Amino acid sequence: MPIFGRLYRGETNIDFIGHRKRWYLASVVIILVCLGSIIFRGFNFGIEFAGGVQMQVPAKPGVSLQDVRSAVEAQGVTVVSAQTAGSGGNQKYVIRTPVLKEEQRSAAANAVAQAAKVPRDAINSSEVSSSWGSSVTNKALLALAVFLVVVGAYIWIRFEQKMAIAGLAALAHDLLLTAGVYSLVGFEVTPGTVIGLLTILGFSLYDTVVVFDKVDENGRGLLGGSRYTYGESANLAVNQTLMRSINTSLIGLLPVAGLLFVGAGLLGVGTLKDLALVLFVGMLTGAYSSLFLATPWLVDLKLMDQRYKLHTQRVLAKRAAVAKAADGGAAEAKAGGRAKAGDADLESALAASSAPRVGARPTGAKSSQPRKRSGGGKRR
Amino acid sequence: VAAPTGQLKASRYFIALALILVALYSLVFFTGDKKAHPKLGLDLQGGTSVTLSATTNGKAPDKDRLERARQIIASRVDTSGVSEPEVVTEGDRNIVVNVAGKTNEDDMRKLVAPAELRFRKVLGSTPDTGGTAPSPSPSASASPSGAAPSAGAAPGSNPSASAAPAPSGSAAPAASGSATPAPSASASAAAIPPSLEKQRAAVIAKLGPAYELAKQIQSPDQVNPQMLPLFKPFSTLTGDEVAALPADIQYNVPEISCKQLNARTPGAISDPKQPVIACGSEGGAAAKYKLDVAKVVGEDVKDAGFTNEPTQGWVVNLSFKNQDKWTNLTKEAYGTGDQQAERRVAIVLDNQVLSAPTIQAVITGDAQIFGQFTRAQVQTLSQQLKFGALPVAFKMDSFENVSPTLGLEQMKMGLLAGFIGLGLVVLYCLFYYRALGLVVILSLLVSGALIYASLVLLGRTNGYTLSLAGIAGFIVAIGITADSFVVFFERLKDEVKDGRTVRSAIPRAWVRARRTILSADTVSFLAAAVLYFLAIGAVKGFAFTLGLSTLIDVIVVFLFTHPLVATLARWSAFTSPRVSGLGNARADHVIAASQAANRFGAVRTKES
Repeated sequence: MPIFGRLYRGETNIDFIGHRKRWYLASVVIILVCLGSIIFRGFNFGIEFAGGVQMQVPAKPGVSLQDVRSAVEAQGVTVVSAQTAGSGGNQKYVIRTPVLKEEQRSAAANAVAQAAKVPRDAINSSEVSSSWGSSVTNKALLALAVFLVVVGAYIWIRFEQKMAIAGLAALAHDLLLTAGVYSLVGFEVTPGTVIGLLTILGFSLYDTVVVFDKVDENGRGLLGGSRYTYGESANLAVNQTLMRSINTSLIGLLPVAGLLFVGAGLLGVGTLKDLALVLFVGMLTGAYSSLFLATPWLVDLKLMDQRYKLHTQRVLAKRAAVAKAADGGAAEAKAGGRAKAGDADLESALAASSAPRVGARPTGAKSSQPRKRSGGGKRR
Repeated sequence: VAAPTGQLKASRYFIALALILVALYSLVFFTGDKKAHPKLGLDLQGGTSVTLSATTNGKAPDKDRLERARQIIASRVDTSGVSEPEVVTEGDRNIVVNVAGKTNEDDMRKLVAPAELRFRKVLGSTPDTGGTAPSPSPSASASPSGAAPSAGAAPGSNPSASAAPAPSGSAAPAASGSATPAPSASASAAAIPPSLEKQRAAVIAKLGPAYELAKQIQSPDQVNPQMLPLFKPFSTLTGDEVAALPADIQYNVPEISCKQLNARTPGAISDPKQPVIACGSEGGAAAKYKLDVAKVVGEDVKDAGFTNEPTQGWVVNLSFKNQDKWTNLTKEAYGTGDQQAERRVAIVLDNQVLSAPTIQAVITGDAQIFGQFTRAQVQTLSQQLKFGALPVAFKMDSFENVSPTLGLEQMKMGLLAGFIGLGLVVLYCLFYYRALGLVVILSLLVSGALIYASLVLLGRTNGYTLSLAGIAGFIVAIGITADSFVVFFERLKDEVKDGRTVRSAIPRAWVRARRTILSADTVSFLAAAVLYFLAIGAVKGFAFTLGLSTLIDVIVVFLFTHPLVATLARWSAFTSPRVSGLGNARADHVIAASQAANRFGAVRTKES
């Protein structure tokens, strides 16, 4: 069956949980690279952080960027950067200088207007003190802390403590990864970027919550039965919500792509670009982490609980026994046998192919379907 | 047993939604200014935005002070005559000044420049008649000079409060409205800046013969009532035009009122080297003062506080860093101690005289200002003395000027981004969900209608302005809104895959999707709320629209999407596999069912 068809029908059977060591390893490597880059390369901060003056002036035909730049420099003003932004009729020149004194600023603005052959009030200027960016960032960090506490509490109450921990850990991963990408690529960090980064929090958790919701549903009454291990039921949940996760990410990314196209492509500078870029990067990492990290972490946390550990062993033992009794293939018996042997084998047992497949017709089930919301119909 | 989704029930939801829409839009069209467009932010319509941040050693200033500072800045902005200024406090230490439309950048900078405190010897005073009555008082002689507007900008303040005991001299405010002759100031006509000269020439041209006449007057009392009509042109001048006139004319012409003088650009008379004219209140009535050059300025003030003295009641205590300057000023003002002489020193802030106490002796130590003050009065006065015009010192944290052209462009671009985003989502939904994609489009339309009405109303009642970041918030929210539908539809697909008919699957899918949608929306709303309340700057606009969209998403999903799907499901064409997009799964089910006929009995296709 082609992968899209299976995805469409929600019948994928990707072993997210079983192979979690792989994802962990990949993530550790990526995180280390990101951390290394953040520490050794740092960020490319915008003028909001360094403080300075930014002047934006429409680019008229016959006026080159160099003309404008040298006009400013002729006033004895240092030009930090001069660049062309936007495209077509929206093209403009962006000149940045350090913080200027009143007369200097005025002289520079007049020089720009003259060189660019535009009236003075067609210049868009912004001036920030060096503390502006950091005050925005400090506020943002405060917001981040409060958000983490509030949302952690919410997930704890709504679901459970371990989901709160796993969800927030995935969030931290997203933030770090996004920051790392910014550092690696050298994208400019502005207050807009910081804002966008905070929004990713919401989005990343939103995605994770939907997956957890399903895990929670599948996990209900799990300990009472002995059909699936927690890992299997969680893996089932991830597969069942896979298409939804992809859809969510795609549908979330599409408008952001629109923003990015207009912000970076047509306008070239400003809030739209800053926001769109960080959202785009962040949403991608968010989609990855809620599928490949959040749920596996949750399973690991759960298996620390003695009840779930014993339950997993019991399930695997029973499955082995059934398989043996039915003479159902040596492989499965082996798997079950190993599971009994001890904790070290739990992972490989989880990875065993006996995990249920979403959408595929159940093989060993009798009365009720071995799907999500097991027994849901009966309870109602 | 699943709840039946009957005709009646669905229509109930639609009616509720219709009522909400009708209510919102009647508010839009029949209340307020009845204009159906949201208030646009400065980055969309062009304008200037200045963020001032209190500099109080990392600690936030107390709320009262910040609010008073806001009021003072707001009144300065108001008198400058810009249209619809907005001055708000933001967070615990910022004040944001927003001025829409075309503005003069330099003027804006002056507006928010902290005004300076000046101590000037009073050369003469005259009641402000505004030209309605002849001036009765005796006068001072004239001193020709130009009042050059200039932007004095230095935060003059030092915190740390403690009322200084005032052992030596004391200054008492004159309670009477009588003015006394004063020695004339030196006629040091300081060089007039060329820009002012040009301005003055324009004003003189405007005034015509009245100016020549005014030049001949030596003091306000020389003007008799019959002459007043000749000076009529002076009463039509704006604050800035008045500021361009020589100081003696500002003082001598009764037709120039205190209202006009107070409307001069803040900082117009802050140059300490120029004699100036300023207004204050004397015995409850407005009075014009002719003032000498400033020999003591705000920076010379060390501290100011207030105490309640047994004999004088509430008093303001004042100490100076440069004691000599103050002592010399009082010596000059006190003169020989002649009771007839004008022995007052005016305390001038911005364009106004706060107080003009009579100097009772040469003060060699701290000063005390007393009179019949109330506690509130001495509190205000001591704070003004300590912090300058503003009870808190500010520095400019960010200054942003967007030309109307760029604003319009950003607006267009924001909308374009929105349309691109919306278009992509719609295409994807149609491709993926087929007919259900239509439901997505309709739901997004309803959501858009609700959001638009809310924006207009919020702009009208709460002053909410839509900024570029706000538009970005809406665009990002398209994803969140559409995702609620995805959650619901994916559930629906699951149920149908389980072998239910589309009709029977809907109530079951809804019950479960509802839970997920509420959880997810809660998280995303929390994110927006935390951002909104804690962040500053553009973040607020972004967070607000994000939160608003999330709330509206819940309304739309509950009152529109779900009932609509339930209604459509009754229409057999919709439930056909090819149309609903739920078909593949059903076809698959048929195959699966044929493979395992026993396990998938007839029970499955009925409602359980």
